[in-house]
Amino acid sequence: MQRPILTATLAGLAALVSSTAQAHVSIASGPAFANTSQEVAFGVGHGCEGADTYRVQIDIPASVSSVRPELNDFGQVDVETDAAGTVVAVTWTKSDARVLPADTLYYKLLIRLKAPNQPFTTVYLPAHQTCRAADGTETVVDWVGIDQPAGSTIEPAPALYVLPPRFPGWNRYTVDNPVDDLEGYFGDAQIVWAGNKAFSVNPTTSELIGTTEGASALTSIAAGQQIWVKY
Amino acid sequence: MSRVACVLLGVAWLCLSACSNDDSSNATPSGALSACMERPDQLPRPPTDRLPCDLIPPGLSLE
Repeated sequence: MQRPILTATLAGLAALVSSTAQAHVSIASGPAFANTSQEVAFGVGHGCEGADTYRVQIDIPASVSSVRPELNDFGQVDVETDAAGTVVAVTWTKSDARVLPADTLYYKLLIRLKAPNQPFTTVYLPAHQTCRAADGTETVVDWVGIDQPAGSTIEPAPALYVLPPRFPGWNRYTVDNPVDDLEGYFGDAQIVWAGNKAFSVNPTTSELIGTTEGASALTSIAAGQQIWVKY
Repeated sequence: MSRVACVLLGVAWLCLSACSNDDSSNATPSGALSACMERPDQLPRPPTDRLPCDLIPPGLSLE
């Protein structure tokens, strides 16, 4: 009889840890492709200390173009433009009647946009999350941190990794910018090679890189270096 | 009647002969057909201590 109780307790703890780990507004659609229009999804993992998310605003940096938000069930969508007509922010707002009494749902908000023609760079799209508690109290959380050191109290901005177009199989690229976050850029690649150094997020492949004679672990890529990536 | 029977037997023999031209790629050593999962010793094996060749990029030779 004790095993089900223990299992349920562990499941509850796992759910708690999981919700904490996803406690932010982040990119939920993976990397984007340079100079290409595509759907980018923002995942809202949870609200604010038990309160439901009432509004989400995404700031659009100047390097991103052709911005068109998609309608969804969350609520009304508004775009803010500058004097030139360029979209600088997108906001989703729930109607008062649809605000939930508790933080129980995951939200996915979509924007179709064109990523800049700058492969192997990261575009940050700061987000502002407003929550409304059952008593009407509103809380705003700003997800605006860029390259914050570990332990920073500033919440990280959604980061969109920009990659060059790809094909199944081997792809050869020349990297214009130094790349340190290999897991962020190549999390969905089978393997990445720069010279005789290789990287893979797959733990078995990564172990084999270490045991293969003549190969060694790739930890970063210098600007101007040619790489091979297999998808 | 016996001539008709001979013709039918001949046709049947030709059919069996055509069927037996199978390259037996699905056959076990005993000759029986089986699924690939029934022949694990004939499947590609996972690598043991070095990267498989399909993960080595074109033109790279590891010494």
